[in-house]
Amino acid sequence: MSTVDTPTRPDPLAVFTELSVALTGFDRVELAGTGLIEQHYDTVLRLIGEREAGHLFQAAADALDADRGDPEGTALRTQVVENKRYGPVIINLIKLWYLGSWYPLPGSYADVNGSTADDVEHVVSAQAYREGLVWIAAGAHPMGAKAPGFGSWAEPPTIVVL
Amino acid sequence: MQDDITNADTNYDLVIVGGGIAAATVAKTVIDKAAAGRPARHPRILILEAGRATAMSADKYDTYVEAYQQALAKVPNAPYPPTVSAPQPNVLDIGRPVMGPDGTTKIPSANGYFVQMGPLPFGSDYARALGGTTLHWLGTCLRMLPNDFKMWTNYGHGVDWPLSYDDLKPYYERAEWDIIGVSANVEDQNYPGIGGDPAKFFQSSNTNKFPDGAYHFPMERIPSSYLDDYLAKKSAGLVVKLKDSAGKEYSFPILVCNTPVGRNSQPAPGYQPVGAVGNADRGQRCEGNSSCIPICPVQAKYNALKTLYELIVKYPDRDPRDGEKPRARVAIRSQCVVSKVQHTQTKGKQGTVTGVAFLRYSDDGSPAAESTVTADRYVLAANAIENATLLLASDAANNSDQVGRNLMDHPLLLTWGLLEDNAGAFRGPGSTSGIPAFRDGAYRSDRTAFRVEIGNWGWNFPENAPYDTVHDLVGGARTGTAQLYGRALRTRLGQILPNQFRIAWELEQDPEPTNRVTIDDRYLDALGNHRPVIHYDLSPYVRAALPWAAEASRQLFEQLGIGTPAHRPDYQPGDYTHWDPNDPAAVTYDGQTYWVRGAGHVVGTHRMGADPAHSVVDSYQRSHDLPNLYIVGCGSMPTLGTSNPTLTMTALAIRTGDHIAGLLKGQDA
Amino acid sequence: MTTRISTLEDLKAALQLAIGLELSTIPVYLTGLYSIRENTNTDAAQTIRSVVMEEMLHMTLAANVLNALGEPPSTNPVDFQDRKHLSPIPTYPLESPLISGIGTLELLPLSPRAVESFVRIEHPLHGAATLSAITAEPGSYRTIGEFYEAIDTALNDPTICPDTLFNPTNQTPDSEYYGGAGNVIQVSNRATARQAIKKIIDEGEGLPQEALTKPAKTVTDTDRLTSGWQMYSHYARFRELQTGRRFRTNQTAGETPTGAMLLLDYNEVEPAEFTPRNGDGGPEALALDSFDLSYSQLVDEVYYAFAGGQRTTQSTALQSAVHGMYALKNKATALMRTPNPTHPGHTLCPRFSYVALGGDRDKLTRRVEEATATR
Repeated sequence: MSTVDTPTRPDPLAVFTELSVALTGFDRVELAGTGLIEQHYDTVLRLIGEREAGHLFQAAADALDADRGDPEGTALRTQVVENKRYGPVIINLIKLWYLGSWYPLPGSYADVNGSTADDVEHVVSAQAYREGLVWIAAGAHPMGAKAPGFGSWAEPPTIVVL
Repeated sequence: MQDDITNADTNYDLVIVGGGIAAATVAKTVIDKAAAGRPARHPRILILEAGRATAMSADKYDTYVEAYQQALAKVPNAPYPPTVSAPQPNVLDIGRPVMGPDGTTKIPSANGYFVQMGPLPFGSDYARALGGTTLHWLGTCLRMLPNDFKMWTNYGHGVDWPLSYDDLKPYYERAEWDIIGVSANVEDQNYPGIGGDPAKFFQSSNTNKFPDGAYHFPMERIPSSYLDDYLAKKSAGLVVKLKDSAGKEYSFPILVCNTPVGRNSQPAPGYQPVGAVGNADRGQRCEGNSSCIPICPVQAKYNALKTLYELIVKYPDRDPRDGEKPRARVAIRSQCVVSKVQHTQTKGKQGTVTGVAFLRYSDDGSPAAESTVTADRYVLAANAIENATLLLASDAANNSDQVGRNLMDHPLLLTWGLLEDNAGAFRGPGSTSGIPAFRDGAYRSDRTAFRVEIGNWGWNFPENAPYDTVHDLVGGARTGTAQLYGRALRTRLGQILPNQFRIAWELEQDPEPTNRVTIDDRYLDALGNHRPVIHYDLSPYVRAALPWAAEASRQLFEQLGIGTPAHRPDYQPGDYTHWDPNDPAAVTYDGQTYWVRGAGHVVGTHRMGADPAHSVVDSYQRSHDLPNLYIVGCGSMPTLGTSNPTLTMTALAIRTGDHIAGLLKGQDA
Repeated sequence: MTTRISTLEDLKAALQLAIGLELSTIPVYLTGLYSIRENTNTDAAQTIRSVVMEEMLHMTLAANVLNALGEPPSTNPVDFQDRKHLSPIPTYPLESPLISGIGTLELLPLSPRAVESFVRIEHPLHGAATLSAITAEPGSYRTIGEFYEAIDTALNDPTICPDTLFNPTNQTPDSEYYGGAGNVIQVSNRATARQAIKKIIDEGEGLPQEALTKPAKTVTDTDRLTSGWQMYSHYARFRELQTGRRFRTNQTAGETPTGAMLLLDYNEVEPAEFTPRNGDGGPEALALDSFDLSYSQLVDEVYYAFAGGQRTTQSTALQSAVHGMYALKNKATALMRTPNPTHPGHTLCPRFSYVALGGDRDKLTRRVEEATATR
């Protein structure tokens, strides 16, 4: 009989998804519907490095666990969003989902963590632009994609909220 | 590589320089008119485009849409890759030249294609690619007003045209039907200066097509946006009152009117909307992609590729096959930069164009071999600024010394606010309505007229929305902590973005000889061609309209309930207009700073006129100095009025096409 | 041995079922179309899209004919021949109550099996070698061709529908149809009614068997867009998808295409898997319900427009239905990207399940609205 226990492997993509739900205000189906969960996950890993991402996701997992039953998400706010170490990445992750663009992390972040070659302002992909959440939040559609049809702009606007 | 164009025994009937709407219109009109003549004639036409070939099939066109989506700065030229061999201006390059105290240029702003000599930067761009700037125009198709053609006689400013509105009217109709395809309803066109009855103003003499002359557009109006209707309701009954310096008050009843556009809508019986190039199923109606500028993904909006495609499908450049009826031939060649118009003209005399020299590049930026092509007649249709630099570099057609002068645009003043209600911003075409009240009136003796364009895309133009709105709300630029996230962010964006709106006040610019395009051997592009060197300013006549536009905006915003000045990132309903000094777009008048941007309406560098001493071309856009040369496009317009110029340019090009068709030799069958 | 249509009531019912028959192919093709990842398989997507657009035209044509006979199109079940309560609105997987030869219509992402079913639907004999190889149930037809033939025969029979019966009631005009080949025919008399039915047959699934011996690229519609864009039969278009080759100009539709390759990459397709409604909770179930609600509302809007319904809004009822179609596409695309929690490796598949107005619809609406809100 082995004395080594068989640990449950963490599922970082699932943590990333749950973190993204909390940060964006869109549920997991809305996020999955963009087809971008894996792409954005990869982008975060690429831009902050896997090691730092591992710290971030563990902190997020702990906070999300602590927040079960707390609709205010207090732990997430105090332990991750307001955490000096993770705060700038959180801001970027929100913008990544909402706008499809990556913005360079602040100099103070790079002073501590260094920087990666891709850490410059860029549109992550055409799909990331098209699926930017800002357009749904606005009750609109991305400029230059997902057209709503002839004359739709004459109709009263509607905004879907959860 | 040039063999197929410059085969020694090839003499074209017509060589056209430029592959945009003016070129396409002249070519199509010449062919149609000549084929209908007795005897029928079938010209051979070569179109030389300096830029790249763009796309003639839907799947290839999609790559430009994708390029736009992936572009960091979604500026008008973003989807169309630049070449250094045929460089194009980019609005991102607009910088302010440094002027000395004596008013001369100390340091030009030359970081883009233009060399800006100031005092103000010329704020507009254009596209150098097959299809030209119609690839990223908005599509507005307003006719000019009758008084716009006689500015000197009626208001003592600018010059009169050698044509009247009535002269041009049948060509406007053809431009609306045969080239662009315009969507509008006559009864919506309530402009000042037309006698109060749109139906009468649009009365047609073509009674075959329009029984009793009752004109109608080929397609129904594009539906007005929800925002348009909201503004119309809120501003109902508003009369803006503006005073001149003598204290005389002018009244402007505010009426929100649907704008004619080259964008597909419900067709009138017998009219077939023209869809996307190479996939006509697509783009049969505007689908509301909300990206007319820089690219209509489905090509519901007219672009010149549609006319060019029709030409190469109907008139391929090969000998007619057995059994094929005699027909014209059209060859379109891209990446051919015309460097010289060769001619026999000497100063003060007339001459003849003997050929055009061009460089066909393949390895972008590397020296390209020069070839010459000859024709019976030549048409320059390369955009007003390109036509001017080419003529100046060729020392051609300039006995009047007017080439390059009288450069005009619609200097554009933006005002923007946050409405109290969700008005559905970021939906629909860029603009669907305007307020035409200020387009004509007695006050034009003192200050220029202006057009009011209601924008459907929130603060996209003035404040880079929705990007900057998200940056404002998420915050944390200094603290490193997001201020708003999750459902609160989602909800707040939904309260702000659809309430944003903006208005563009587009001022007529008067022709001034000192606003000009010149060339300077110190400023050449990669192939050694001259870059445009631009001197530009706004006259006191234009500037005097700035306070009026600002005051009209103030009164309108007051009526809309958002008169209170406000600032980002507060996002309470209010007037968010701000014009700070030290912006490249800053202009002062009477101690007040305004921001004046370009409208992309590049006009007036080879004005038409009856007198060769004061104009470059006649009313057919034929060079006074080189009678086998036609210089077409917005450059021929002596004054600009308040209409976006493309429709007028197209009408003029049709008139030129008719004229050239009448001169074609009869032997070509 | 076609089942004759011998009464006006049966002719009207047949036309109600014809509208539904045209509708029933659309979700099948749309599931294939929307499963294609963005900016991939552009030729295949364009092919499927062009067929869908014509199916919508056919629906409109059948509706115009029915309206001309004085009967508004409706989603309600009909009695046809001796059969009671046939629903014109399909549910999937669909065993057609009307066409025995067509087989089961399933909602599948684009795959060789899906394309095979497309070809089967559009084949004159639905893949059978001979007509007699298909067994016909009483009151139904072996092929779509037989069904439309029966309609056409009845339309041509003044004892069933006298001249005076035809009126241009609630006709959808041509200006309301765009985005596909062909034109809407407004029906005002017997001749235009037959013309409308003939157009459905020529373009689509009612193709007669002889068509297989005719050139594959026989143009089924005038080149209305005058730009060299021409349409040949649905069967020929889908055969090209199936074989990965284009027809050469001199080939007949019955041959195997031997022209240029038509590139199709089945890996650039979302692995959607159809699962019937099962009452699972969670946001995934809600998203599927929300799709069904949108789809049901869209179907209602289309029928409302066909029945001459007016809207007080800016848009006409048909325009409003078109907005619904654009929105539905985005919803379908999103579903097909969303992992199916119970089937790892697969994503959700829209069910295109029409929920009739009444109690069930009210329940569905409440369920969706409780979870989301619009303002």
